[in-house]
Formats: sequence, structure tokens, C-alpha cells
Amino acid sequence: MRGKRRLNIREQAAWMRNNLPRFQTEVTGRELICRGNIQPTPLSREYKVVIHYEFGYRPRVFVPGGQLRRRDHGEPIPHTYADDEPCLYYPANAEWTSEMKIATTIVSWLALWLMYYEIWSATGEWLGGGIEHKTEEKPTE
Amino acid sequence: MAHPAIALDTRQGQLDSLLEQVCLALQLTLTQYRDAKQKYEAVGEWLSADESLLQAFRPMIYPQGSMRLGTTNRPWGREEFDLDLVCQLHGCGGAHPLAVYDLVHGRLDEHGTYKQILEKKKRCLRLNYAGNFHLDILPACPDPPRGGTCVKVPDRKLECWMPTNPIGYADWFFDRCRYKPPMGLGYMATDVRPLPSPVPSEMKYPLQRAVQLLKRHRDSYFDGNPEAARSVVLTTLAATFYRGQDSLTACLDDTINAILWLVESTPGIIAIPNPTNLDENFADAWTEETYDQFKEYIRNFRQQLDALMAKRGLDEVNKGLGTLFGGSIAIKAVNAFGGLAKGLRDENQLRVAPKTAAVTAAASGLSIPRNNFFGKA
Repeated sequence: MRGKRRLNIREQAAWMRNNLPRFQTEVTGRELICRGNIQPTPLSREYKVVIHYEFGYRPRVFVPGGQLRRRDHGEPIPHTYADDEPCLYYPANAEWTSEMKIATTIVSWLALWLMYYEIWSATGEWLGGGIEHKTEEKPTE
Repeated sequence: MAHPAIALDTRQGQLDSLLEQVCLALQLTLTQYRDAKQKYEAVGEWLSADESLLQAFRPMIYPQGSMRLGTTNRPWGREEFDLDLVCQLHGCGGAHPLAVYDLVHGRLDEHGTYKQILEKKKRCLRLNYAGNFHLDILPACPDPPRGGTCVKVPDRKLECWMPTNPIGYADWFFDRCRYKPPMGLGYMATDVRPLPSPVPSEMKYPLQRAVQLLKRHRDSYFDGNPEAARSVVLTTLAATFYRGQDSLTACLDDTINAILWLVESTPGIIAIPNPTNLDENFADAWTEETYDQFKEYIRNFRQQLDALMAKRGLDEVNKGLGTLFGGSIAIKAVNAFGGLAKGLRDENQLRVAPKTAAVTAAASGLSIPRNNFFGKA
């Protein structure tokens, strides 16, 4: 992916519309908003998901409306920012940069995250791997 | 690999993958298996030793039941697990059944250790080892009028011979298993070994797995192994109705429907003849009361399986598996499934389906760039 140029909002939107035609993809000013459903595996629930992206910031993903549930004792969901927002990649490694298509990275990682979330929800074990962080990250790219 | 570690293509395929993990979690541990094998061999040597009175009758020792069939589960709760072995003598067909029973009893009673753990049962002699294991030794004589591998065994209460056929039954069971080739990495050997090694569960036939699952649900429902649903009854019914399904889900679904049909449409108590010795009825212990319990148990399985197949969400599926097979086994199975998914991801074999972004292991999927989930684990 290195050496490629950054994709602007309209290009990201075009890739979303092409790869995920069932998502509603809108561009409002500088912001991209995508809404759609992901059923990570056949036995899984179908989750309504929202992706917000403003050029210069990291893409934000939301699984709104209380679809994500904490286990007993209010134990936080693993690999989330505040507000149970899934943390899909490790920013310090530049695993996501604005040269990459949201449609083939963020959306796929979210599907994987949702699968591991359901398994965690069943057993209490997070089996998706990842990197822990101690302090809250600022939502910047 | 001949087949992917987990299936993510359909609901049934994914449920099959989870049920497969339930079966793996049900396997005897290697320690349990080795311990049973060692005790089996020691008793066999004692019974057939040169100085044994039984020597004159050329004793032949072989396992029967679930160990022979490869359908043994880890014991449920505080239940014991057992190994059934046959001590077949020769040239004893004309003897009184109790004389044959006493002959085998006498030999075991000569052994300092066995003497102290020996218990007389209706048809067998039981060695109650410390821990949760016992060995049942069934004295037997050939039964020439019935021919083949048929034998007769003494019944102490009725003081008569009872017909059976452990070798023939196992051969019949494996014939049913081979209705179609097994799924998994390889093929089972076609011969039945003296004591089959603990074949990895992924090399078992679907029918063997289905029997393991039926038995585990029975243990969970009755909290043990009751007269109302004996293992041999479940095994025979499952094998009778098996028609080569590769899918464990489909196999369980069809088997339960067939049993339900049989018991609901037959007036009175059904008979379950040993297919390899029609004079033996595996269902002869049922009373009206225990038969009603059996019917209720089959209806319960139908309901629980329907509930499982309708679940949405892996957490809900986990609950459904827990209701059928026990909570801790379900959690082990779902975690094992997740571990396999992580393994595929690490080997870059997990992809997403075009258009839907569903996770898939199919080659037609789009590859997923590397990532590390971040945040507190």
C-alpha cells in the first residue's frame, strides 16, 4: 500500500458503493457516512453498523442502539474505545492509512471483530488477538 | 488439509463445526484411555494365564460396547466410565450357566487385588477400581445353533443362558458407519482392533459422533445413564436410521425424527432386536414407566434441537449447545471454534464474502489486510 496516494472522500465513497452496494453511502461536505448490515457468520446476528470518516481523522465505526452487550458484571467489551466503539487496528503500526480503501479494510476488520465479539459474548474469552493499550487513544489518524 | 478446520458457509455447516468441537471435548483424555487399556490388558492376562483354570477352555478376551465402537464419552459428572470386556470360553456350551459364571469368578477371586474390588452383577463380573472407572467382565460361550459370532452369556438371576453377539454387533455398527466414507482427515481402518486406539475425533465416522452426542444429551437429561435410555438402545436406533449423512446436524435431526416417528406410531413398547442376534432384545428392560420416560426424553431432544437450530448469535448458540450437552462442554467447543478461526486468520485463510462482508474461509472471498485489534483486552 506504501507509495500510493491518499484517497479522498469521494474515492472512498466510490469504493464503498462498488464493493458494498447494499450499504447506504453518503458524502456530506467533508464527511463520508456509510450505513449497512453485517452478519459476520451464518449463525451470527445481523448487526447494523455505521462508519464515519472525515479526511485527516481515523474512520470511526459504530454498532449503535445497544446491539453490543456487556457480559455479566458490566465487564467492558474487549478491544473497544469509549462508548464501546470497536478498535479495529493498531494506530501506531499505521495498519490503516488514508491510502487504503475503507471498503476492503475497515469493513472486513469490523466483520472479524463482530465474530470474535460474539464468541467473547458466549464464553468470556477474546480469541481474536490484538494489542492492548493502557491509556485512551485520541481519535486521530 | 482434506477439509477446512471450520465451515463458515452455511448455518448447518457452521453448526456441524461446533458439534464436531463438542465431540472433541467429549473424548476420553489420553490418561483415562491409557489407564483403562492397561487395566484391560492386565485382567486379560490374568484370565488367560497358563496357570489359570480357564486355560482349558481357551479363553478369548475382547472388548465390547462403546470402547469397541469408538463411542465412549468422558464420564458425566460423578458417573463412572466403564470398559466392557468379554471373556469367551470354548467347549463350555453344555455347561450350566452358573458354573461358567462361577469359573470366571473363581479365577478373579484368586487375585489378591481383584478379590477386593470384585462385585457380582446380573450377567457380568465387575471390578470397581479406585477413581471413577470400572471394568465389566462378561463370561460367554459360543452358541453354535445361532452360528457365526453369536455367544450366550449366563444370567445369574434367571439361571439361564442369554443370547448376544458383541463381535457381530460391532461389525454391523461399523458397516452402518461406512454407509458412506467418513468425513475428516482420513479413513478408519476397516478392521476392528482388539482395543481400538483413541482415534482422534476428526477421524471418526459421523455416526460415531452422533452416538456420542445422543449419549451426552441423555446423560445431561437424566443426569446419568439410566435404564430408560440405555446406550445400546440409542446406538442401535441411530445406526438403524443412519443413511450416510455427512452433516452431524442433519444426522441428529433425522435420527430424532425417525425415533420419534417409531415410538409415537407404535402401540405399546417397541422391541429393539440385536440386528446380529434376533433373539436378543435390547429393549427388554423397559417398563411402561421407563418407556414413557424414554419417549419424553426423545421429545425433549426434538425441542432442544429445534431451539438450537433456530438460534441467532453465537452466544445464543452456545446456550443451546449447553442445554443439550452441558454448559462447560459448550464453552469449550465455542472457544475451540474461535481458536480455529484465529488460526485460519493467522494463516491468512479467512476472507470476506464480496458484497456482504461476511467472514468466510472460501477461496472466492476477498483477502483481509493484516490488522491488530487494539484497546483493552
